[in-house]
Amino acid sequence: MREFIRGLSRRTVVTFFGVGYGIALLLALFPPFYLGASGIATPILGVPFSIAYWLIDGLLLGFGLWGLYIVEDIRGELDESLVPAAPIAGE
Amino acid sequence: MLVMLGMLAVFYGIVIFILYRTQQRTTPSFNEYSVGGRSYGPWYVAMCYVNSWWPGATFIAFFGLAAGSGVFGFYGLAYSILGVAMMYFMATRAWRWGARYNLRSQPDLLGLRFDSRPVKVVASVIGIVSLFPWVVLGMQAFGEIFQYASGGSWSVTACLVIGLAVIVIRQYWTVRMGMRGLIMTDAFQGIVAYVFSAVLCVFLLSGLGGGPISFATLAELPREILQVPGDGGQYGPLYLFSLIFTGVVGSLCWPTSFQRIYTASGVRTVKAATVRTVLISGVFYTLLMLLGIAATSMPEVAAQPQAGWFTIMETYGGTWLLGLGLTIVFAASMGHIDGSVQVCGLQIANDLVDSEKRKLSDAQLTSIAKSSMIVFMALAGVVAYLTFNLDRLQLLAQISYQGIVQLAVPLFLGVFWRGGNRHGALAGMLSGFGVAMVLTIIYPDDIAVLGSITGGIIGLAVNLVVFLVVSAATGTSAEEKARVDAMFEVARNPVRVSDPAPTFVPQPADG
Repeated sequence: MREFIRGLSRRTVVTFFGVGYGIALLLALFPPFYLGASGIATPILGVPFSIAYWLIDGLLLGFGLWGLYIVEDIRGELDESLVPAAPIAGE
Repeated sequence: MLVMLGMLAVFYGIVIFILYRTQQRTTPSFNEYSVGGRSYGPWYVAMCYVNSWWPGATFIAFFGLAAGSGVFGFYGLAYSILGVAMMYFMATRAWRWGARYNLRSQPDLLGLRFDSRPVKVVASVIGIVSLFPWVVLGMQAFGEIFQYASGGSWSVTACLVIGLAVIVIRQYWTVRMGMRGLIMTDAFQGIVAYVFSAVLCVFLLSGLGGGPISFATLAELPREILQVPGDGGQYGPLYLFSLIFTGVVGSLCWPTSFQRIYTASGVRTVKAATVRTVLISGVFYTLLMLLGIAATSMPEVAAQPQAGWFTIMETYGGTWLLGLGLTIVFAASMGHIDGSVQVCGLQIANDLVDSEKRKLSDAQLTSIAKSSMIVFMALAGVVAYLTFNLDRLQLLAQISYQGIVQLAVPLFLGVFWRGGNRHGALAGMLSGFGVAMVLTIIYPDDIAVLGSITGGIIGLAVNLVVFLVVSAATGTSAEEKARVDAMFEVARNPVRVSDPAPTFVPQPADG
């Protein structure tokens, strides 16, 4: 899996996670979507759909960003620092 | 009363103790003073970001929105985490430029990108002016906290004066220590404000302690609580879009937010801190909103939603729980004011006073930043006192949000696109800010005939059109194009990959 992720082009990674971010943006910003989810009491794991809609949007974004961080970490795209690789405050 | 005041005093004492123990004995450089020497790790940067993002008003205004209007309160979750995520996408480029060109503030970046001091000055002034009402409101929140803590037995004036004194004394350390003074306490303040409150929300929603609100309450909500603005009611379909869009693009326009990139030790730190910020904000705010929505079933909360947080604490836990609720709001307000005062002082010194013609030394810059913080804070304190019971100040804070987003056009286009020039950036910001101000004064909330869009969005559209048209009309010289190309080339390459840690070679013991 790690080799597969390392073998992907940067464009593929950006497109994949960009689509996820785009969907999260659309759910929050496109009136037909958020108005369509308004006022619906049907429960999703005990929470009305109208509330679950916003939670799903948050989870999609949160896990998407976390996933992107893990992928960039595997690809070695994060190791850039002004200070030597010594322990850093807060890590 | 003594219990609640005692809890506030213990919290305050711990903050001062942390500051006292972590203060530097040597004189810091201006880089150390302004961006903490770009040396902080992801948890510190995340806590600093969370503190500067969520003011004490979250527990009053946003909680009141959920407790009064229901699911509408969740718009704050959407714009906050979508906006914070933008920091992730900007991180590499903005951090590399910051490290390579020694940038300390967001206007620094704009000034560099468009090679223009006026662009830098205008961006800085918009940031400082927009933050000012929020600092005033934060100081007034301290007065309200002491009104609750004194059980209403102290006069309004006494509460405000004590609240101001408490925050002003705290700022002595912000002025003295700069960014370091924030970062060392933000972790503690953040744990109290956001972690404690999240745990408290879970406890209350679990139904333990015999409270009538719980997760089960959420399954029995009336339809009107589940409706967002635009789905019936007075607002049009674009109202929610306007609020969320303004929040998303505005998230990186606030000077406090962007500066977090420059306090980080590296690209990994910025990105890891962003993921942590989304995690902390998402969990904390979701639980707070669920509690607020569940509390719509409490008649005393429905009667006064803005005081809902305090009502719930007092009703179900008495003095001790109300004391904890007050301490949480106290911590959140303090973290927000600290960050705002620090970054405004930094921007006045770094962006407005310092210039190529009048280059200041590190000592002079630090000294001006300190004096600016004192003046900024004193001014905010006076205004807070004079306007304590004025609703118009809240309006000023709303206007400031519509104004601050006008930085988004030159900022986002400047960072991701090589086109545009200084004339476009300057004309765009000024026209967008002007249009947003005028429209928001005429239509403080929404523009009904345009589907409830807000003045800030119109301003942003004007800003974008003016930026593109003026840039195209004035053109870009070959020299300017080469300069921008060189900047983007810098952003493509790592500034400096970290050196391997020095290898420890055991030495034979003497003798």
